[in-house]
Formats: sequence, structure tokens, C-alpha cells
Amino acid sequence: MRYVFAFLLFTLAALLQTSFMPAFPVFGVVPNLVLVLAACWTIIRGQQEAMVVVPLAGLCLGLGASQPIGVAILAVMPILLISEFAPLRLTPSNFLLTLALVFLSSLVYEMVVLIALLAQGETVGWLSAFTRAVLPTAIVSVLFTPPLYWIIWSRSEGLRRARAYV
Amino acid sequence: VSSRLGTWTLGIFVLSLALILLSRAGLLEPIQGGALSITSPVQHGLRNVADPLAGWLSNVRDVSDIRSENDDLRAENERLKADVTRLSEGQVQLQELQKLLQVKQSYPDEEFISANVLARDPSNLKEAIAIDQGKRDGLREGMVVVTEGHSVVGTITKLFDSYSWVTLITDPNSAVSAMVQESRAQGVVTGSYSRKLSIEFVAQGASVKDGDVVITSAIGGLYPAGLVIGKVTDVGGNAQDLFKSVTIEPLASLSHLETLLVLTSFQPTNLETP
Repeated sequence: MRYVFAFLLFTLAALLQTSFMPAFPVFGVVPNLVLVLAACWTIIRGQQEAMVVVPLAGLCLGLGASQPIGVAILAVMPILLISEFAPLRLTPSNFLLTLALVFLSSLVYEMVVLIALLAQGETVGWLSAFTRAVLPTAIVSVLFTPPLYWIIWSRSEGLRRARAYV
Repeated sequence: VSSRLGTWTLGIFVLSLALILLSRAGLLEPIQGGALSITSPVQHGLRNVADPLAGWLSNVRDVSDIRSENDDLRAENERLKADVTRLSEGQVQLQELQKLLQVKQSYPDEEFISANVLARDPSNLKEAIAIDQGKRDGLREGMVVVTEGHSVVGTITKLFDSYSWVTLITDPNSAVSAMVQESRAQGVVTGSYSRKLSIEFVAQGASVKDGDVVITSAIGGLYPAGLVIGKVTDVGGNAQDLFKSVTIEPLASLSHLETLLVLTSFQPTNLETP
């Protein structure tokens, strides 16, 4: 059931990202809401669920993209690898860790998409792509993290209680 | 990295590569096309909510400019009405002369296929939209897409049976041969990652000013001549530069597209070097 909820949530986020948000660009870009949700899910609900949910997020992004479907799945997978460092507790709270994960995974996501565009024969201006699209997207995605973090956090009360009990 | 996570990641990596290959071979087209069709009404609804809201916010932000803009528009409207009357009169005279001289019209009648926007690419690195017409509707790669007002939107770059992807003129990989209508100065309109348009390779000596209209030129064979691209909004650069730095604003509102026209009577040609 939780994976059905995740799929519906990611689909809704993908639709908002492609239809609603382009009318309200921040720094000229649109946040990657699906990626932010996947990162929040990974930190709040743990790696075991993330192993299913993160590829699902990539699938939702890929279904509506002009790139081949697998590109988005590949691009979101680093969330899982970066989350491996979560137990190190480099930051004092899960929330700050989530912000860092969103920022890093957004950078990686956009760079993978750039490489995919290059592989398809498109010309890529690395510096202008980084300064005008990749970096602003990572920053704007971080700005949109708090409300999305709250959605996942509020849906995970049972899980938090169970962890506290253990 | 734990071995379980490592194995799982490797598995997903292999699966992703397989999906990319299948997708490139066109085998996943029904899935992608189906997903776009199913979600299209929701996307349409969301755009219909977002566009007026964005327009209202923009008006609130620019309320001080609206009054003067309104005055300018009234004056422009009056001037345009006069132009239309004069041109209509000229058109009648031209038709009479053509009839007398039995001259064929310079351009064949344009033929279009109407298409609805299904979706927009989610990445900030690619400016592309999906439309609900594809190969089986007679579309071909490279065909030019315009708005209902006949200003340029882009070209078809990925074609599937039931839908296609249109790369917008604001995409960083887009390049359109163009000219400034008033001075006939030639250049190439290019997109950028900031979704702004500029016209490159305009000679420093060319006369270009704010408000000039930029249209397509037939050079290169990818676009028919005379389609409106946009208006010049800024002319910059130093006098010692080889080319002018010219920024233009697309006439079509590329973030609020709904119904488009695919120009089917114009066949783009890829010119070989001599």
C-alpha cells in the first residue's frame, strides 16, 4: 500500500512539476519535486523502502520526459548511494541531512541528464548549463524541500513510533 | 556501500540500460505515449489553473507599468488599424493585378495539422513539449510548429506513431536562420539555458533597434521565410565587437502553449555543403 501511495504521490508531483510550476519559475527554473520527495522518503523512512521508491520516482519522471525512460531512473539512483552515508550523522538533524541530500542528488541528476543529451548528439555548453540550469535547480529544489519533507514526515508517524519503541 | 544495496543498485543500473535500449528502439512507445495521453487532461487542467494565476501575479507585480503600457497599446492599436485598412486596400489591388497578369501566387497555400500539447519535458536542461500528433497523422521529423497566430514555436525532433516531441526555439540546441524585418539584417536566433532568445551573427553595422520584428529567413532550408519569431528587446555589445549582441522576446508565449499548428506543406531540407 505504501508503494501505491508513493507512486500516486510521485505522479502528482511530476504533473505539478511539468504543468503548474513552469508558470512560476524561480531563478528561471522549476524545482524537481519528484526528486525532492524521493530524497525526503529515503531519509525519513529508511533505505529499505527507498530501494523501491527511488527507482519508482525515476520511472514517474521518465514516463513524461523526452529522454528514454531509463535515463531518469539512472539519474535518481545516486540518492540511494548518497543515503548510505546517512548513518554517519554529519548534520545534527534529519532535516538538514535531507537538504544536503536534495542539493547533491539534484546536481547529480541534472549532470546525468546532460550526459544523456550529449550521448544523443546534442551540443552541451557545460559552464552555462551548470550556472544557469544545474545549480539554480539544485538551489530551488532545496527551497521547496520543507513542505514536501513535512508531507512524508507526517505520513510516517507510525514508523517513527515503532523506531522509538525499538 | 552494503553488499545488498550494491547488488540492488547494480540490478537497477542494468534495468535502466535495458529500458534505454528498448526506448531507443521504440518498443516502449505505447507505454510512454499511453502515460502522456492518460495524464494529458490533468496537465491541461493544471495549466489552466496556473496560467491565469501567473498572469494575475504578474499584473499585481507590474501594476505601475500597466497604465502606461495600456496607453502605448491603445496608440499601437490605432496605428495597426490604419495599417490593416491600408494593407487590405493594397491586397485588393494586388489580386486585381495578379488576375490581369495571370501571375501565380508567390507561395503555395500553407497546410497545417492542428495538435494539442500533451506534456512538457520535466528537465530544466531541455525545452521540449509533447504533442498528440505523430507519424500516423502524417508528421515528419523537422516539420515546423507554429502557434495559431503563426509565430514560430519550434520543430519536431522526436517522432512516434501517436505523438511527437517538439524542441522549442528557446532550447539551447535550437538555431533558426532569421532576419530583422525592418533592416533585413540577417542572423541566427538561438536559445539558451536561461530560456532567453538572442540573435547571433548580426553585423555590427546593421541597423537594429528595440521593438524591431524578427522573422525566419529561408537560409538553411529548415524554416520557410517570413514566420514571426519575436521582437527585439535589447541591443548591446561594444562598437569594436564583430557582431551585435541582440536579445529578443518570442512572440509566442512558449510557457503557455495549448493548441499548435504543424506546417505540413513545408518540407525542410538538409542542405549539403557545396
